[in-house]
Amino acid sequence: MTGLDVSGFDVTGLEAARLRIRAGAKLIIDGVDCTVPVGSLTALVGPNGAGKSTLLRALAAVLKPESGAVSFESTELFGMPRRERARTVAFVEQDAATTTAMTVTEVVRLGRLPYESAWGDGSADSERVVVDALATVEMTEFAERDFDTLSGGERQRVLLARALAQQPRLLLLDEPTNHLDIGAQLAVLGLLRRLAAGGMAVLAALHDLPLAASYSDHVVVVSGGRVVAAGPTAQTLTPALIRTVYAVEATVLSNPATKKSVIVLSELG
Amino acid sequence: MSRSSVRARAAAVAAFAILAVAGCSAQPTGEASTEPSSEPAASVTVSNCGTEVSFDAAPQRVVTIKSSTTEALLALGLGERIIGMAFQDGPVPEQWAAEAASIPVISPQVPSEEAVLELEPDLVFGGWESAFSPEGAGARADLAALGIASYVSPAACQSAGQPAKLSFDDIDAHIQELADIFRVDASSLLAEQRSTLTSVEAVGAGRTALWYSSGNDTPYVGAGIGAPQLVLETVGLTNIAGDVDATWAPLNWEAVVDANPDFIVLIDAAWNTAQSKIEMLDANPATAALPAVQNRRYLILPFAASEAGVRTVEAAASLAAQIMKLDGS
Amino acid sequence: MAPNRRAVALWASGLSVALVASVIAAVTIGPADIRADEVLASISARLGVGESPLSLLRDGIVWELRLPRVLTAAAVGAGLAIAGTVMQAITRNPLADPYLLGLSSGASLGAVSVLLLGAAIVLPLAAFFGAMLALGLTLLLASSLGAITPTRTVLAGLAVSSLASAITSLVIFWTVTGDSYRQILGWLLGSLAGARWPAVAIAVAGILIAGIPILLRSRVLDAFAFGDVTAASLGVNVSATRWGLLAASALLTGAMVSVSGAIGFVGLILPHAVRLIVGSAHRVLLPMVAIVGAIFLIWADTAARTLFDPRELPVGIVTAIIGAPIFAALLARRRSLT
Repeated sequence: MTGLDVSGFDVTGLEAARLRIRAGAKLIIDGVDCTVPVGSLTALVGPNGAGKSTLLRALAAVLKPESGAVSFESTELFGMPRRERARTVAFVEQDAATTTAMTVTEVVRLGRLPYESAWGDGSADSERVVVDALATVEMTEFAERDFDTLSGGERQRVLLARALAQQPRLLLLDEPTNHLDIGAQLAVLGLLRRLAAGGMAVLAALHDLPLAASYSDHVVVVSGGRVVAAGPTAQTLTPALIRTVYAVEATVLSNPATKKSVIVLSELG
Repeated sequence: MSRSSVRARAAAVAAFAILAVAGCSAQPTGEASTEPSSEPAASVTVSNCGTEVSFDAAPQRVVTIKSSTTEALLALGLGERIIGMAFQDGPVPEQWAAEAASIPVISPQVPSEEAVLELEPDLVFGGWESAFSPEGAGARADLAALGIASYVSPAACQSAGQPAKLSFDDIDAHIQELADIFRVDASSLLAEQRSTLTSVEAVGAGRTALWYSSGNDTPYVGAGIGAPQLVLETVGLTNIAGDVDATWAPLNWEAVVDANPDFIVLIDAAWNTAQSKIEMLDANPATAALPAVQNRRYLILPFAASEAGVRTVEAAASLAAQIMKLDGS
Repeated sequence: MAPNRRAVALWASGLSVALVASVIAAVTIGPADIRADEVLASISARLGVGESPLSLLRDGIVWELRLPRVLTAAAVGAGLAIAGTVMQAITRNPLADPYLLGLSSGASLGAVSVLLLGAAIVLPLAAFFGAMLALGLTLLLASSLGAITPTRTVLAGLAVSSLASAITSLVIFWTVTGDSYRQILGWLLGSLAGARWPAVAIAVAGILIAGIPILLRSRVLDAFAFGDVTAASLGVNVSATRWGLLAASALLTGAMVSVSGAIGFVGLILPHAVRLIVGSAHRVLLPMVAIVGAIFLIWADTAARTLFDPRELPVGIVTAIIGAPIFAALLARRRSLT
C-alpha cells in the first residue's frame, strides 16, 4: 500500500510515508517513513531541533505536510472528517498552558468535544468517560480543583486524562516528561505503558534516552529531519547509533528483571 | 512640543524687547497720553477671576477672543484699539458692522500663543477663561510675565470670581470696570442699557421656558446662575432648569418633556443652527408631542447675544418682542 | 470551583427573573414623577390592554424615552458582554475586550465624521462602517506580518486603534466650536441618552444575527482554551471557526457601538465576574454573561440619568467608575494569571 519495508513489524497502527514538512522556506522533515504499532509504546527520540515536535503534529494531523501520507489502520488521517479523526487520535502538546480559569473536570471534559454537538449536550455517558479518565490517571481527588493551581506533574496527568476522554486508539505525546521530577516522570511513563498494553498505539517524543530505552518497546530515531533508524528498542538503540546521532558513548545493558534495555551514557572519547 | 516652545520663547523675548524699546520711545496715540517723564496716570487694578491685574495706562492694543469681548469694546467706542479678534460667534450687530469689518481675524478658533504674541498686544480680552491655556492664547501668568495683561469676562470665570447669580448690576459693573481700565466714559452706554432694560416688560409672566443651547441626545441648556437665567427672569419666564446651580448644564429630555415648557428659546449658532434644533425637536417623538413644538412657540437668539455682555439687555428685549408677537398671533 | 448543575440552574432562573424585574423597575425610575403603576398601565395600554392613565406627554416620556432606553441598555449590555467573552476565548487573553480589534476607535471616527464634519449619513451607520473599516485594516495589517495569530491580531488592533484615535482627536481639536465637543464627548465615553426605538431595533438585531450563532458554538469556544493545536486535535476547524467567531463578534460589537458609543468595562469585567459564579464552560457562561450584562447596564444607565437629576452623565463614566475597582479586585484574585 505504501511501499514501506515493514519487515519485523506488526502492520496495524499508525503509518506515515514520505512525509515532507516545510515551515516557510525551511524543510523541517525531509521524507520520513514511520510506523507506530498498536499495543506498544513507541518512543520518538532524537537531538533537539531534529524535528520531533513538527513530525508529531503532522502525525496527529494538526499540521498539514507538504507531501506524504499519514494513515491509521489503513485509513488516511487527513481525509477523515475532523470529528471522526478526533475520536481516533489524541494529541498531548508540550507545555500546554491556558489562561482561562478552568477546573480539572472542565479540562478533561474538553476531550469529549468530538462526541458532542457544537452546543454541547453532555450526556451521562460522557460524564462517565470523564470520571473514568480521571481515575485512570489517578487524579480523581483533584476533580474540582482549579487547573492552574496544580503542579507540573499533576497538570500533565490531567492533560493525559483529557486525551483519554477522547477515547482514542492512537495517542501522541510531545515530551510528556518535560519539567517533571523523576517520580512523576516514571509515573507518566508507567501509565503510558499500561495504556499501550491495553491496546492503544502510543507514540511519545522523549528527550531522556535511558528512560526511553527502559520503557518503550519500539523506537523511532530522528535526526536532521530524517528517520535514521526505527525498530524494536533493544535492537535499534545500539551504541553505534547513539554515538552517531548524539555524539555520546553508550553502554547498553539488559535489566535482568524486565529484560528491557538499560542505557548508560558517558562522554565521547 | 519642546521645539515649538523654544521658538515661542524666542519670539516672546523678541516681542518683549521690541515692546520695551517701543515703550521707551513712542508716544501712545489717543486721548489719555502722558509724557513718560511726568507723573504717571493713576494705576487701575482689578481682581479678575481670582487674579490681580494692574493697568498703569489704558490698553492700546487689544486682542479679543469671542464675540462678547469684541462687542463690549465696540459698544464703548474702543473698536480702533482692537488689533485682532478670534473665535467670534457670529456677525456683530449692524451698527458696528462697518467698524468690525476692518478688524483682522486672527483665528476662527482659540488662537495660539504665538499668533497672539506676534501682534504685540498689551491686553488679551477673553470671553471664556478656558481661552487662556498654554495650548490656547497662553496662560495668564505667562502673558503677565511678558508684560501682557489678560482679562476675562467675569461672568465666564471658572476658577474664581464668577457671580453667584448673574444680575444686570454685575454686567454694569463689568462695563464700568472696562471703562475704568480704558479710561473712557461709560455713562452713556450704561444709561442706554438701563433705559432699554426698563422698557422690557415681563410679558412672559406665569409661563415657563427651556433655554436650548445645543446637544442632540443630551440637551445642553441654560441653567440657574448665568445669562440665560437672567434674560428669562427679565421677561418674566420661569426657567425649567432654574434650580440647577450652573450657568449652562447638560439636562435630560425626560425632564424637559415632563416640565412641558411654554416657550423654547433656540440659540442660533453657525455650528448648531436654530433650524437644526427645530428639526431635531420634530424628529424626537417625545419632544414632538410638546405643545411648544407643535405650536412653534420658539424664541430665537443669536449665540453671541446669549452670553453675558453688552447684548444681554438686547437679548431680553428681543425675547420680549418675540413673546408678544407669538401671543398676538 | 465550578458549581454543580443545580446551583447553575438556580442562578440562571434567579438572574432571568432579576432581568425582567430590572427592566420594569428601571422604566419606573426617572426625573419625571410618574408612579410605577401608571408606568405599567401606560405600557400595557400601548400593547392593547386597557387605557393609559397618563397625559399624552407623560405617556411619551414612558414609551418614547424611558422604555426604548432601558431596552437598549439591556441589549447593549448583553451584546457587549457576549462579545467580550468571545474575544477573551479566541485571543486567549483575559484582558481582551470587544474593542480589541480597533472596533471602538473606528466607530468613534465614524461618529465624529457625522457629528463634527457633518457627513450626511445616519450616525449608527457611520459608526458601524467605521468599526468595520478599522477591523478590515487590523486584519490586513495582521496578515501582512505573516500567518495570523491571536497575538499579531491584537497588536495590529492596537496599532489601528491608535491611528483611529489620533485622527479622531485631530478632527475634534480642529473643528470643535462652542460646545459641540459635548456631543462627541458623550459619544466617546459611551452614552445611551439618544436611544430611541430605532436603537432598540439595531441592538436587538445585532444580538439575534450575531449573538445567537455565537451561543450555538459555545462548546467550540471551550476548545480554544489551550490554543490552536489542542483545538485542532479535538476536531475543531480552527481557522474557519476563529474567523467566524471574530466576524460575529465584530458585527455584534459594531452594532452595539453604533447606538451607544464605546461603553467600556462591560465586555472586559463581566466575563470574569460571571466565570467566578458559573465556571468557564461557554454553554453556561455565554447566556449568563448576557443576562448579567443586561442587568448591569440597565442599572448603570439608570444611575447615569438619575444620580444628578435633572442633569445627566454619559453611562460610560458610570461603568468606568464601577468597573475599575472591580477590575483591580479581579486582578488581585487571579494573581496567578498576572
